This record gives sequence, structure tokens and C-alpha cells, in this order.
Amino acid sequence: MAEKGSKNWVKGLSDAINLATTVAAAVALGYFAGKWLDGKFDTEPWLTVAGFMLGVATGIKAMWEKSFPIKKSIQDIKEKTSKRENE
Amino acid sequence: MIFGMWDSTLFHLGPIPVDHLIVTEWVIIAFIGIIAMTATKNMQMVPRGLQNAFEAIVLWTYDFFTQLMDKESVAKKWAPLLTSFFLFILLSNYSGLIPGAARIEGFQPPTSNWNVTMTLALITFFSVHIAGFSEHGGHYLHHFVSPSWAMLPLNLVEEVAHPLSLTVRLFGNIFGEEMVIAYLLFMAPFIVPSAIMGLSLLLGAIQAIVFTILSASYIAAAAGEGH
Repeated sequence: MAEKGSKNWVKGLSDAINLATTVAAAVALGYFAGKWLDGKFDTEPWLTVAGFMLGVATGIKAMWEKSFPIKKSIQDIKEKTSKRENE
Repeated sequence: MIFGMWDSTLFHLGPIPVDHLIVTEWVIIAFIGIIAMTATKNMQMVPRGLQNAFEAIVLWTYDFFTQLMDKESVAKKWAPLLTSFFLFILLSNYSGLIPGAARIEGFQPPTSNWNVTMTLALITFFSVHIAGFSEHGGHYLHHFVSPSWAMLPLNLVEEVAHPLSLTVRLFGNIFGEEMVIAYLLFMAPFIVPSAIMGLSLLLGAIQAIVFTILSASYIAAAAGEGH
């Protein structure tokens, strides 16, 4: 029981740090990449806005995946692929 | 060393300039290596002294990473790298706090330079994908288009955001802390900086733990089943 509790604590901490940093980094990455591309192609502000939106969408996706984990796993994909190959 | 006090290049190895950060890294690596070699020299069936302490630490790290990464095989495979990350970052963060370090050239924390933190983050980045491919083979590529092909750009941004966040957070925290200590030393050289230096002990440990836990969770996500 104590082991399960400590496991939850470690995983919970890891998920919390992971989510917070991923959301911030994704938005920053999208914004700055867009700004750089705008400077390169002289399209200001469209690529900055697009990059920012992409970053925000990535952040929302990361939050969504943590809140509602997708049941489909790599193991499932492997099984489906091998089933298809057998057929 | 007080931040930015000396010219960064110490000497040249052929055409390659060697600066304070690299020297500090060498000292830290040598320090960890010497302790590890001392602990593992003349290993006994019934451990005593340093060997005993190291065996306890190794067992604890295996247990910790197994809890974090779910799979024991994956945890045992990657625990040496992750523990090395932790020790290297911890000692790097603390290297600027060594008494007298302000008077010794070469004791600027390496983690206060983004080249070092980015290198560490890139090691994590490649380790994540190596772990993914070694556990799942070609099937690992499916997670880039999961749950559908439309998510490919978002998944790619997320993959790049991971090393970026590792780089910026570690660099920002340690660089900021060094700057604060440097300014405080110039403004009030006695007693006042000791408070922030005490806080730096805590901050250095937290940043080392955060980097290690995040690296472990990225590797676990790539090597694990759930995506």
C-alpha cells in the first residue's frame, strides 16, 4: 500500500512538471518559430499567429491526453497490425 | 566563480578553445568517476563502507525509476544514464557555491550556460527515441500520427518542446540564481548573499531532480505502452 502511494506521488509529480513545462514550451516554440519564419518570408504577422495557435493547440492536446488518456497503445497497434498481416 | 568575472577562455587544445565551463565539467566528471571507482574497487560479497553505501544508492535508484517508469527492464536499462544526469547536474549547480569558488577560475556552474543544458537535453531527446525504437521497433513511428494523421504537426511540436523546456528551465534557473548572487555580492558583500546562497542549495537540488524525473518520464512514455 505504501509502495502504491509512493508510486502515485512520483508519477503525479512527474506528470505535473511534464504538463506545465510542455504547455509553456510548446506555446513559446510555436510563437518564436512563427516570428522567425515571418522575418524570413516577410509575411508578418500571419506565421507568428499561426505558430502561436499551433503551440496553443499542442498545449491543449497535451493537457487533454493527460486528463483523458488514450486507450490505444503501441501494443494495440502491434496486435492490430499483426492481425491484419495474418489475414 | 562570480558570474562573468573572468574572460571565458582558459587555454587552447589545438584549435579548440577550452573555457571555464569545460574545466568545471572535467573536474565534476573526474570527481564522480573517482568516487565510483573507489566504491567499486575490490568488491566483496558482504559489502562494507563505501561499497555498502553505493549498493544501497543503486538499489534505491532502481526502485525509484521502476516506480516512475512502470517497466523494470526499462528502468534498469536507463537508470545509469538518469542517475548520471542527476549527479552531474547537482554538482554543476553546486559548483558555484564552493567556499572560495569566487577566487578560483573555472567554478562557474556549467548549467548556467545554455550550451551545456541544451547538450544534456539533446542527450535526453535522442535517448527517448532510442528507447522508443528499441522497445517497439518500427511501430514506434505510429505514435507520431496518433490518434490520427491530422495530429502529426502537434505531435512534432510536442517532441521539440520537450528538449526546449528542459534546456530553458535548467539554464534560466541557474543563470538567474548566479546573476542574483553576483549582484548581491557587489551591493552587500557580507552576510546578505548567504541567504540566497542557502536558497541555491535547495534550488540546485530541485532542478537536478526535475530534469531527471522529466527525462525519465519522456523515456518511459516512449518505451511504455500508453501513448
